[in-house]
Amino acid sequence: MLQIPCPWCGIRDESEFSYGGEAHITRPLNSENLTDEEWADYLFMRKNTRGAFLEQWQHAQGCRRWFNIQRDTVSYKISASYKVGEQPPQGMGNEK
Amino acid sequence: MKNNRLQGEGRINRNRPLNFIFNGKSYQGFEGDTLASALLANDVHLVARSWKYHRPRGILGSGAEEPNAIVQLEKGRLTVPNARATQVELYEGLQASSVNCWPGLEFDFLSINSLFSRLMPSGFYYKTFMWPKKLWMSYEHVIRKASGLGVSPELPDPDRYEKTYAHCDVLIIGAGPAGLMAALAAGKMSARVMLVDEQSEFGGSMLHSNETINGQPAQDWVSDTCEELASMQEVKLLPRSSAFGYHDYNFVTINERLTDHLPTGQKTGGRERLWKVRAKQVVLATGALERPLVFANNDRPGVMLSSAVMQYVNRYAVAVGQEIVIFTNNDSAYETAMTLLEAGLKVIAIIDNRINPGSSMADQLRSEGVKIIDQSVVVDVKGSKRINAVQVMSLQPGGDKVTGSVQTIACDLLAMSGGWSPVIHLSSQSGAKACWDDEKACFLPGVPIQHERSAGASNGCFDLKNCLSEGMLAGNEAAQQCGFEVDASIQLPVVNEVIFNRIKPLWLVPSMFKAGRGPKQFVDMQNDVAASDIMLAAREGYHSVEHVKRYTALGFGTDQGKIGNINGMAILAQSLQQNISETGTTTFRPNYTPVTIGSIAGMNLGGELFEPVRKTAMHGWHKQEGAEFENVGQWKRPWYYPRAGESMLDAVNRECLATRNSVGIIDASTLGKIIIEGKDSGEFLNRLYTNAWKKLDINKARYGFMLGEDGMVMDDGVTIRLEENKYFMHTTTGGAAPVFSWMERWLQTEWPELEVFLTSVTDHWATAAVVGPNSRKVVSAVCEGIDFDAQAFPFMSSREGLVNGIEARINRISFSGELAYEVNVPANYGLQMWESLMAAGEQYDITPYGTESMHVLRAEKGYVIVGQDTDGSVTPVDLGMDWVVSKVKDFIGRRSLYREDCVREGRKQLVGLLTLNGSDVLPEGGQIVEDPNASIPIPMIGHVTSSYYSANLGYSIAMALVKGGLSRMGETVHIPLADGKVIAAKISSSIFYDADGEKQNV
Amino acid sequence: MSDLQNGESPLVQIDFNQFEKVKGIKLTELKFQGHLNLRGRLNDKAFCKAISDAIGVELTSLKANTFILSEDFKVYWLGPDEWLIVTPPDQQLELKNTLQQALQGIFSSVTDVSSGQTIISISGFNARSLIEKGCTIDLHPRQFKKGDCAQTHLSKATVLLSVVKSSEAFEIIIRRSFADYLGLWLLDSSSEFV
Repeated sequence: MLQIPCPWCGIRDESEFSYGGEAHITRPLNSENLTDEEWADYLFMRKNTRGAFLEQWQHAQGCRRWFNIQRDTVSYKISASYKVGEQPPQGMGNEK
Repeated sequence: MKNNRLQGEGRINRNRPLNFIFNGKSYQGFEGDTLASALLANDVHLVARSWKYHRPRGILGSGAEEPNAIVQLEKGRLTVPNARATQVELYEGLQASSVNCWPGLEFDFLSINSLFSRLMPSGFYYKTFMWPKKLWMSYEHVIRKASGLGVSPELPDPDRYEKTYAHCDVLIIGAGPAGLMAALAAGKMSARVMLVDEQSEFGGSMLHSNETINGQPAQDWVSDTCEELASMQEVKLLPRSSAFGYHDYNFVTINERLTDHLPTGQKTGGRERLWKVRAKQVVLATGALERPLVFANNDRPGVMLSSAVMQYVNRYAVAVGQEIVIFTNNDSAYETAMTLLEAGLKVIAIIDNRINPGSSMADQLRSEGVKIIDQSVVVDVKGSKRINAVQVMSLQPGGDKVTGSVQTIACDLLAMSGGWSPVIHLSSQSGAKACWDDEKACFLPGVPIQHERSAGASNGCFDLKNCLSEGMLAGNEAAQQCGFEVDASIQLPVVNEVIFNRIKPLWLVPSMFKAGRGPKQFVDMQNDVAASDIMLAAREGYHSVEHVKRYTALGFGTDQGKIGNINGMAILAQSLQQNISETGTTTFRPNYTPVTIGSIAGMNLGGELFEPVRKTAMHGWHKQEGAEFENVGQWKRPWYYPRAGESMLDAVNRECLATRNSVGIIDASTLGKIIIEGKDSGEFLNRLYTNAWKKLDINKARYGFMLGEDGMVMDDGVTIRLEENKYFMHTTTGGAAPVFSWMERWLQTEWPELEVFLTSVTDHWATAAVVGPNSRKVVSAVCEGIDFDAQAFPFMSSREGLVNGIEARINRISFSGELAYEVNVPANYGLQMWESLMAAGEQYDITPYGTESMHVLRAEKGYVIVGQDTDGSVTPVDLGMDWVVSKVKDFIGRRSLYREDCVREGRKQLVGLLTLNGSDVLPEGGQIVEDPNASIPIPMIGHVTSSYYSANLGYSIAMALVKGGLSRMGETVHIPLADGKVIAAKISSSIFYDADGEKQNV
Repeated sequence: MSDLQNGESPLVQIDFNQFEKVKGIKLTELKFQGHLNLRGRLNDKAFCKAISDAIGVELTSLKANTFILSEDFKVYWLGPDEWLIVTPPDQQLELKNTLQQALQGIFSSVTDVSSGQTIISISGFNARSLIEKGCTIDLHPRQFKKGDCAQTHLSKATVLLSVVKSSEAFEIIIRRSFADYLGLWLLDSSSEFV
């Protein structure tokens, strides 16, 4: 079981959290002007990264804040945890 | 009966004799015995039949590694299958029996398999029984009876199992020399220490060794150290506890056996406790297991591991043989020989594959008359249910072939040692990759991935002095990593240095037969895997060790390869002409030793605590009134209230009629309730819901649909505007938590600029919906301060008042099409409100109704239930509810409604269904077809989502999702049932009752 | 003002007498306390001042996962913009009105949730062991001290756990609908200490 560092509450057991998938996906503002393909890209397409991955979690049974972590999908090692609105650690970002 | 008990002390309590029964016969042992030592003391060597060939088997080892002495403990509800006799502590009245034998251990009918073993090579089952496929089921039945181990209990487990979480700075697994020393070091540094060991006593190898520490027997140092540890406040000692799983983030699972060692009548409280430990640092001091040697008939009773022999003699004072031969490739067996001599037993010879294995002990043994036969091996043993001789041959120079004549040496016990394998299971589970060490001929723990370190024998250090110093270092280091300072006062105990000669690996003993011929040379005794099976697998093209494992069953079973794996991998490597590190090892996975299902399931198994049961403030009342309950999410909701003699249908019909004709009441407290506050609340609702919210008047209510971003209906409910910048949202019962989280997510991650705060008030308010033509009279009698006039308090509006002097909010909303009011009060006063409403309604025969009647009433009106009439693939348009979808503003999911797939022809749409015979009630989930006589598979055009008998209408009604349903009005469709019957139904509007909606506007 | 005589605690079905035979555990319910949920932004000086004026607590200095006592009120940190104020019985409506008055025009939310939750006090030398059976948080006094609180789960129920006295006295705030489940769980779990 993982231990996840909540930026507000510190390290807590995974059982307090719920997973939110890939981080840094922005909702398009001009959805009216998007083609079906462009909209589907936002809606359905997600990375399946092997290695360092930026993802959203919610401290669901704690402070209820959503936040981001960088987690290695192979080793499960979490190398960064940061608040929504903050930038990922330097040089880090999910591949386009 | 022969008594093998020695004069020496051992660690048994001779003042406490214990009676026990094995295979129906009574025996006696002592407190401190294991079942295995007690059986050996009674000269019982034959304890089992093997898994596949039903060969007679004896006790091989002395602990978790034991592959043969697998027994069924006790009977009935308390029975335990597959207990290792070497780990079962003896208690008064213990009953055990052998597994794998039929009709009995001495004469096993299936031992005939042994005669045909040549015809049952590895992969035998796959090759023989897989064809024809149809018969596999009946083959399997026979195979299961013939093979398999113990029998699962057939009755519910009466035991209780505790669970607890724990945290510590340093978790030390294994309380042998390294573990005890590590605990002492870390404990003195004030670290929070947990020390666990699977045995009843701490001490590990020191409990049976002849060594001295600080000039005293090692056993004395053990008891002094345990005493010191017990006095430390932050040190927790857990004997009888197996650390069986090492998971991510230093999460270690430990199974503590609390009562297994007690007689049946004296067991109280939980049987086991599962410890779920988060350790900052872990020290693995799990010791090492001795390997057997692989020669012909090495599985016969009377062939034992050398270390086990020593343990039985020294710890349990049991003479496991009188005339003993030792077969070894390393020095450790010489200590066993010394022990045997000291105990007055006869060591006839030591067979050693090495050239002139001269150690100080060897010289001493020779002087005591022990014959040391070097450069030789045991090629076979004689005797079936107990050996009576060994056959010895010399090795050719080079050591891979035998030569000369066979020398037969009579004996009743062969103690063998093929070297030592560090117990790296937990290290490997933690992610460290085991690495092969040629010098020590064993796998060593790999570079740590997590915060752990190995010390002592589990780290490949096989002498006491170094075990203690490695332990101290590990304890110091681990506690330092947690921020504690080393205690300078700690000293290493004084131990004599022993010089060991190098081991000479002997993976497969050469014989006079060609490879794979001759009597079986067993590698994995529990799974009856012989050397020839592994060679066959290699010949048949299995080169990966993982594949060979699965093909031959090497390393399966309760011992998980503790005995056989290393020899097996080495033999595979030889067959593939690789070295061992190239072949590698199979992955070690939890559990290290078998763990009861009860321990993992824990105390909440099956009972009312397994999953939270959420109850409303009126739950007790419902229960008292005899309600049947339905699970809705975690909530218990009244389903219907049967009166004496009523069936469910009777009750529901009565409740529905009473509600439409006079007044009914339902507990609606479980609906999700969320306060939305802030100047952007209206804007937020606009984005969340498909319809518009900003122009809703204060104290007015509106129905809304929430979609996923994919355009599919996610939740629905009524929201009320309480103030200019404050709304009160209702969600579905099941949707409360996910919708709340969903809303927070949008606010926090996508729209942080919106000034909106959310607060859940689901639990704060108790809600009673009073429904029916007489509802106004009932509610107005109970609620003060509100003008209930139809015009003053119109449909879809909300008022504040008092109920019994308590603040209350009354919403005039309806989920039945009737005149209806939902009365909300703080839940502490919910029961009082409910009882007041019941009293006020008495004159109108107010009828409490449950979720089933609620479903019927809403279906009569064609109101959908999200999650029942929708399934995540349904848009509001599919439901024919475009009226609730704004054309002018954006909202979550809007763009998806125009995706090609959402606007195509032929989507499933919600319609009503009326069976041609009104008394037929369609099954929910029933598939709909156009032509029931079409050839199979018949194309399906939809399915029934809701279906009920309507007492108000006098016939059955249903709702269904049907392809292009809205343009099929009046068509007849068919619903084939599982029993072959076909029901015909006509597609209709889904509004069956009061289509103009007049009843709720009175 | 409400009449507590007719109110019913969420734990009404739990027989607290059964805890009397449990060694080292004293378990009581702190019934009918006022519970107000407070939302607001810490970077909004007007908000912080209004709270400070009303209840004497500087929210900016209340650390995450701690609580503070201020006269009759206990204020718990729930999140970076969320707090819980617990008042003695029957004082919540008055405080709510006071706060709402003070917070007029300020982005905030004060919500009465008094009937939605209750408080269970657990103390005694076995209190920690009992809670540890269902709680993943480290309760050792070196880690979880007087004045600390944590939102977490106890067995499968979400709770707000706080330390009244290190390692010896705890309070658990539990939602009404889960209270009965938690009460039964506590009874069941404490059976080993009888």
